[in-house]
Amino acid sequence: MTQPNDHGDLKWGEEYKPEWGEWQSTVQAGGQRDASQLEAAKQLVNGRIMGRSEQMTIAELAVKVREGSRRHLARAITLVESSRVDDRAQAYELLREFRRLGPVGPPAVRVGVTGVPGAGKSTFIDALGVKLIEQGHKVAVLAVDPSSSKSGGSVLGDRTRMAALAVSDNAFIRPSPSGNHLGGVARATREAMLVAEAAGYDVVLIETVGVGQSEVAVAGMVDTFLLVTLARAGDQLQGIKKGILEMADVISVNKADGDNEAASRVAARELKSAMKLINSAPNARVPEVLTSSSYTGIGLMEVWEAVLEHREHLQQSGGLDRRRAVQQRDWMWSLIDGTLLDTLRQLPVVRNRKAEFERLVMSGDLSAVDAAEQVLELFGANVPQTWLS
Amino acid sequence: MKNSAAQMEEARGIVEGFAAQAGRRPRVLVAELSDDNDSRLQGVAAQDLGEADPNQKIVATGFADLGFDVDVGPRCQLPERAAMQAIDGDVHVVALVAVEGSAGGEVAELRKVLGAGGADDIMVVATDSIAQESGVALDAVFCLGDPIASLVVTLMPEISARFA
Ligand SMILES: Nc1nc2c(ncn2[C@@H]2O[C@H](COP(=O)(O)OP(=O)(O)OP(=O)(O)O)[C@@H](O)[C@H]2O)c(=O)[nH]1
Ligand SMILES: [Mg+2]
Repeated sequence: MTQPNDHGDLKWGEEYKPEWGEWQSTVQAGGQRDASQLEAAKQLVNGRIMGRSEQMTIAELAVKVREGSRRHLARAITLVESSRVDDRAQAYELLREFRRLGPVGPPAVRVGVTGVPGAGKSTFIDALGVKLIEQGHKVAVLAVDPSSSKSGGSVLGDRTRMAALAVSDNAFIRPSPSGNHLGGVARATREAMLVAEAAGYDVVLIETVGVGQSEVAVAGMVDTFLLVTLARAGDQLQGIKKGILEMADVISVNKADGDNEAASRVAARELKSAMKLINSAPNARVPEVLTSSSYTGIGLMEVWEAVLEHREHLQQSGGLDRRRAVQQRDWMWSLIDGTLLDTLRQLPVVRNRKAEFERLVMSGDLSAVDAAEQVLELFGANVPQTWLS
Repeated sequence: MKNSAAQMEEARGIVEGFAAQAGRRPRVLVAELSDDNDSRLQGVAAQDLGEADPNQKIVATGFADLGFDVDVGPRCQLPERAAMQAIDGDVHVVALVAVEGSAGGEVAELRKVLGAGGADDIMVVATDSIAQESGVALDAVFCLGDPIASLVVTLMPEISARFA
């Protein structure tokens, strides 16, 4: 998983060599896969995804998504979110198909929005999204929400806070379902973002609650990471983990309205000086710290300007390509990690003997090390012949 | 009537079975419809818009507790907007907890827009009072205050038939 200082920043610089580009064009763009890929794209999309009323191939689904059909966009996202191995294979085929068809426009602006629960992220996205649509953008909103009840289900409530955006034909709001593990949710969100971009959404906003690892995962898929925080006298630094501050590219002290307005300005100033200390390296870019209110609308566009400036700066310094390249590298590894783990856990020989191994380890009849070795050997003896297809 | 704990267990079991088979949890949109969204929006302070209706919250939590992923619509949603949210979220079911205006018109409109969007396989369920008032055919009817589990047990076979 992407570490904070790893998402497109300095250390990776030395390793960033032209070979990367070659690798990208041969492996990523399809290369030798082309012939078999065309065949694979002619498969019918699994019936449980399309429902019983419609049958189409992966290639046809890709075309429908690109033509802007909401129903098909939604179903394509369901496909990439599915945890079934045969759906995963089709999901990768769909993403390959999009790549084969080429980009629909310039790269989308990808922004992560994080902050503690109740900081006003959804309301902010709502108010900002409406303004961006007025400017002619198409805005996709995804949400990574790790909270779920014991039952595994969850209430995806963010959209109730996006009443204004939700009535626009140029907005697509899709909270991700809860997953068993963050890796799976993050994978689904990244792929949903690619699907939305293929449908012509040129701004993608990803909301995530700033408590835990999910924002690290989101930072690993966006260009700019916006931290929404609050002026609560004195505790603006304690309230936010240092790791999140280090990841932030732009910070907004939110709910700067009414009685809060003055306090928010003070908090923003303090945070700005704190950020200078954190980013004390000579050439480090100190994140912009601003104030905003979704109720009055004051400051919203200034925050957006700062997001675009940060992106522009990245682009000019070659940092955007580098960031995205690093994200591709990390995505590759997280796909490998995730696939290995899912495959191992779903392998019948492992599933059948899982309880037995656990019992032996718990009773002390088998050491954890020996048990791990035996499970891995079972895995090694039964690895599948194909992986992502 | 089965006792409610047993019924919840049963519903959860069915939902888990579906999730394993379908690769995702069953998904429902819990919505409150209105025929007059615009003037209502103007009358309501921005602060209050984000709050779901209390019945909406109760029903949403009921579904989530049984293992559903639950989308919650904004208050006083126009039927075409609810349909759009249902389609965007690729839900299996829309559960209506309240309808302001003429129930018959709104529910029929919801169905019509779902169909026009290629989504006539999304089921629509509603409270008994909406059902009575609207006279439109629904996939199931439930009572506010009754356990959601029995509704879920009723719905799941059809959801499975369509999507698993
Ligand atoms: N005064 C004021 N209140 C706001 C503003 N934005 C949001 N709020 C209120 O803050 C509360 C939380 O807003 P949300 O947008 O749901 O916050 P969130 O960060 O998305 O919350 P979670 O998704 O639960 O993490 C709501 O009651 C909003 O009405 C603002 O600009 N000013
Ligand atoms: Mg939110």
